[in-house]
Amino acid sequence: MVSIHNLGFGYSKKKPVFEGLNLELQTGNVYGLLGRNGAGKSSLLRNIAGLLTPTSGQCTVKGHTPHLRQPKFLQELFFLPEELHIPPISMKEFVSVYAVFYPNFSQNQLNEYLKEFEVDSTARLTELSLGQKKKALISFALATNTPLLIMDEPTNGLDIPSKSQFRKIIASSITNERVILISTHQVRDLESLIDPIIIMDNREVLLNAGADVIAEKLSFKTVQQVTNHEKVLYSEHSIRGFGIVIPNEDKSYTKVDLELLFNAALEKPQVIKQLFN
Amino acid sequence: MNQTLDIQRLGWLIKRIWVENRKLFGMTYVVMVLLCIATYYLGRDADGAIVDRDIRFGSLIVGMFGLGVLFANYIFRDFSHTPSTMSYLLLPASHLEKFLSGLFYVLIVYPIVIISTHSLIDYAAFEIIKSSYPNTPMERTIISYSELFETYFSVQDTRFLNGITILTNFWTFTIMGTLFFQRLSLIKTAFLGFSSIAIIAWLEYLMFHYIIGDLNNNISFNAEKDSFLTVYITVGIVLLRFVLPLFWLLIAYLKLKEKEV
Repeated sequence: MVSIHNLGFGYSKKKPVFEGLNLELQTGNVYGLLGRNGAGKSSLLRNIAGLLTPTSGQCTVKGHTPHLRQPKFLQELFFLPEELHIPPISMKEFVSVYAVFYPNFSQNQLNEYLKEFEVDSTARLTELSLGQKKKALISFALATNTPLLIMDEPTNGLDIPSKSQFRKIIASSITNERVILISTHQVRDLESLIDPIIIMDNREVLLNAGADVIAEKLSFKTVQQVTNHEKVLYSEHSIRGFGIVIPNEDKSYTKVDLELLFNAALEKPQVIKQLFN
Repeated sequence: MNQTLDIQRLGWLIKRIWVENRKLFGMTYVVMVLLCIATYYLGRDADGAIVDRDIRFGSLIVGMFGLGVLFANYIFRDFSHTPSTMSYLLLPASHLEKFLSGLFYVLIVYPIVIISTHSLIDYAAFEIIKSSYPNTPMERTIISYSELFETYFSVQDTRFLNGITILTNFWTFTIMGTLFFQRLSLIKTAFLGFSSIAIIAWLEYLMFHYIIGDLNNNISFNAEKDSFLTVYITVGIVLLRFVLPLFWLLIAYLKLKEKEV
């Protein structure tokens, strides 16, 4: 679906955001894009969406070149940015204006999602709370049924019940023809949802792997005392002891802890790259 | 599917602008009508009879000129804010369709609405004043439209045509500026516009002063002088009336195509 080869991008020639980036996104997955602030996550999303033009390399989405922004390509994509554009109209009017641009839009699905999220569809969008606005647009985004759905920090502004509804709705809306790419800092919110995981740092992709592959290669444990320091990729103190990440040498499968994985990738980027490439 | 221009998609984009802005358009229209009526009311002479022709003419040109620039800036305001720019650029329509949908309101709907509304107010004012003061020298129209069409494509130097020329240049220049500048686009565009006018005026002064010199002294025959001035004015008018507005629009369209966020 999304194919990125040797992609380079920078806002100035002296300071590239990323160089030689390679990435493949396959249908049927909810990808989680993780990275620290300034790692280039949003720039990558905008390159995929065609809002930015790569300085080198190639990025294609279903064979389209995104930065040409041709209608045929734009019909296949819905991008939900972190900051939303909300016109001063009701949800009904919003649908009447925007849905026509998306040939696979489903009004029934939209009604279901709005009901699930408990959004008042009769109110003007600008009169809704931030969380309600976000839920209204998430519902619309999902109902467009575009093959590629990109979301930048979708859970920001959502309360705890809404985050759980969000996970439920996303899990039910993924199909074999669709890719959902979610960039987030709130890894705990989406831990059970995103798989595969993409971690970006220092202008490159450190890891792009499914939870099963990660669990096969790494163990996530809580121990009272950290021993065997040379093997530990990352450790952090918690109330229950120490959370550690170590290579999975005894093939005992543990649940992937995204926060530990992310911190381990930032602490030992080369080790993580070698393990997964 | 046509990737450059599809009339159905263009229609959807035009509808989008209308649905999102109709309340504001309506309120602005009412304010505009009230301002025009107030101008006519205050523009009567001491007896309450004639409305000065300059006031009638000025209310059309200044109203269209001033508000038209604001309107042109407003229609392309999506570029003043990153989320709205993203939403606009990612709408499944071509750059040309997006551009034309804005131009439809600025260059077609707005002039039609303004001219028809002004004509209606002017007609009503004429009828009211004529019925109360039969001997008032108020003319039925401020300009004959047949005269307008006859002279627009010639080089005749009429005040109305100059007004239209300035208007179209200001509108199209504003559209270009709105696409170029994200923040405070109107102020920056105005600054750029007035700076450009000042530079052009200065260059023209230099050209006449140092290259051509005093026309009366350097060109001995009146025929030569007249011919030079005619060519100079013709080229200037063609540039201002036809070439420059299209040039600003072309630049604006190319900027829209290359816009990144």
